[in-house]
Amino acid sequence: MNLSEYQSQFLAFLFGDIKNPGLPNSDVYRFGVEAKAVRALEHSYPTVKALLGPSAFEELALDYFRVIRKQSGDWSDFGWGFPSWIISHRISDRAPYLSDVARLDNYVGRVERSQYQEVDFQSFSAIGEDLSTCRLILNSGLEFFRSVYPIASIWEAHKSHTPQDTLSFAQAKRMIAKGRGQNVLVYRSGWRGMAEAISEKDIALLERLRKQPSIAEAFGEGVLDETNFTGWLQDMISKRVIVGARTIH
Amino acid sequence: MGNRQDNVPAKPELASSTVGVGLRPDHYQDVLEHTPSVDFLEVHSENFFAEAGIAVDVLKEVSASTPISLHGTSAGLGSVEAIPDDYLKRLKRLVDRVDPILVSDHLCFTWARIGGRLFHGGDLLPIPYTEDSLRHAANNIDRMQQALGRQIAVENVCAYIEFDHNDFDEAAFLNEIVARTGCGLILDINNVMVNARNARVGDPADFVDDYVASLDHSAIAEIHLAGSTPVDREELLIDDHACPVPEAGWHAYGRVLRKIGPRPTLIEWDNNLPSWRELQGEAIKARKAQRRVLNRERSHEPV
Repeated sequence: MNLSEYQSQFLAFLFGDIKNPGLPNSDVYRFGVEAKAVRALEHSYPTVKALLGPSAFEELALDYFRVIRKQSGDWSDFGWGFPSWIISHRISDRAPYLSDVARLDNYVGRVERSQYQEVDFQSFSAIGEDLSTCRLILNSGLEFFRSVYPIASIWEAHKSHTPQDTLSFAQAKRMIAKGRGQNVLVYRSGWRGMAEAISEKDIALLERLRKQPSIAEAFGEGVLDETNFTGWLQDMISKRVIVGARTIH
Repeated sequence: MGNRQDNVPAKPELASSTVGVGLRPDHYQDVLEHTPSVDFLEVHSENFFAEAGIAVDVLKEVSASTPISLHGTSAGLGSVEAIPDDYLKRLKRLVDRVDPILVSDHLCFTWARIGGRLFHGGDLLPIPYTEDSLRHAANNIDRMQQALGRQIAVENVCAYIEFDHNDFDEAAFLNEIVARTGCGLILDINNVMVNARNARVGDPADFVDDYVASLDHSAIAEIHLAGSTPVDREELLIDDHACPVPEAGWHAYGRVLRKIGPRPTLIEWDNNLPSWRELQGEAIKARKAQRRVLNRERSHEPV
């Protein structure tokens, strides 16, 4: 066996393709890499782990590792495809919301590692009387999405060591029973990624803002007179969801 | 092929009698609250490859007051495959951000193709010490040094498997790599001890001394000290960096210092982390060992 073959075969062994590479003590490496894979996914998907428990999570993580394998040198990159992979896994039959929960965990991690923009307060002076000539700037680091499951409540509940005792857990249970989902906004507070449920109106607004329309197009000409709008804008600025305004030329 | 010694400038070095510890997320708060009482901090390069976030911000702040040694665990310098461009690009970005005192990685492989696709093994996987391995390792080291525009250092690893055929012993292989690429070396004393113990050599201490005697001393840029754990009814010693440096490790360190003189020394502790205070206590032990050797050297200087 030449060097190239040895290296390929050894990796195939680590990923479970080959039972025995013919070298004593090889299992030390396989066990070590599998433990690292589980640890990396535990770190990236804490809510999924909390939902499943350590043993079922480890089984799921090892299934993922053996199928998808590791393609980057950075363990924190490992598992980016976990949420969509879960959909095809048998575990989704009994926990159909798991993929969306994983997606939320993934977005929280992504937001924590993103270039999250600071608010440019001075730029809001660009908002003049003609709202068709300026637009609001959405933080490029944030994430939002719709789910048919109450994932913001599930996520919130499982931050607790005793999720069953939380109001969020009770709410999630109620919503699952009624077949109701949530829209989620993922933003950053300091270094921490945060997730919260937002209304259909808000997520529609954020989607519209992402297309960079003028304020008039997004909200209507008379929006600045509406108390609801100024309150909403202040809230979005305080979360650094909206980080500035810009004149449209 | 390698041998680009003239093209890989080394960074200004730390004084040889400096001591550092590894900085891991559990200790971020400690280093932000109090300037560390060590001479440098070592971090695992890949943990800081992100664009932004807490790790990047902490490193930026800490590196303003404390020198940083960037230690990679994933480059796979001994891979037949070339280190991917994306990996080198991310490492270069980090090096430019931090301006480290040392950039290093391990003599092992990590990358390989299966069915034409490139995968990463996720661990420090051993290579046989053959001419073929030497050629690929030299190419990758060369490639990294050229990409970063600076010298790197290469560390000896623990190998839990043995190969039927080697053209070199490990020290000779490392010396040849230094000769071909102009890279530096990291001497991980614990790794040598673990390999000696797992190979059931008669006298591990002699093995370590012979190994160190064979190395090109001028290339040794840093020494690593760590603890290891026996598993499987003590059949194998695993280099898990999960406990203090053992007494035998301190004795070996003393002998190494007497043999090659003081070198920047890192205490590695990655799992089952102690308090920041306890970790710094290990660094103090290393500093005392260095002073003992320096004092002995001075007392033997002619007046």
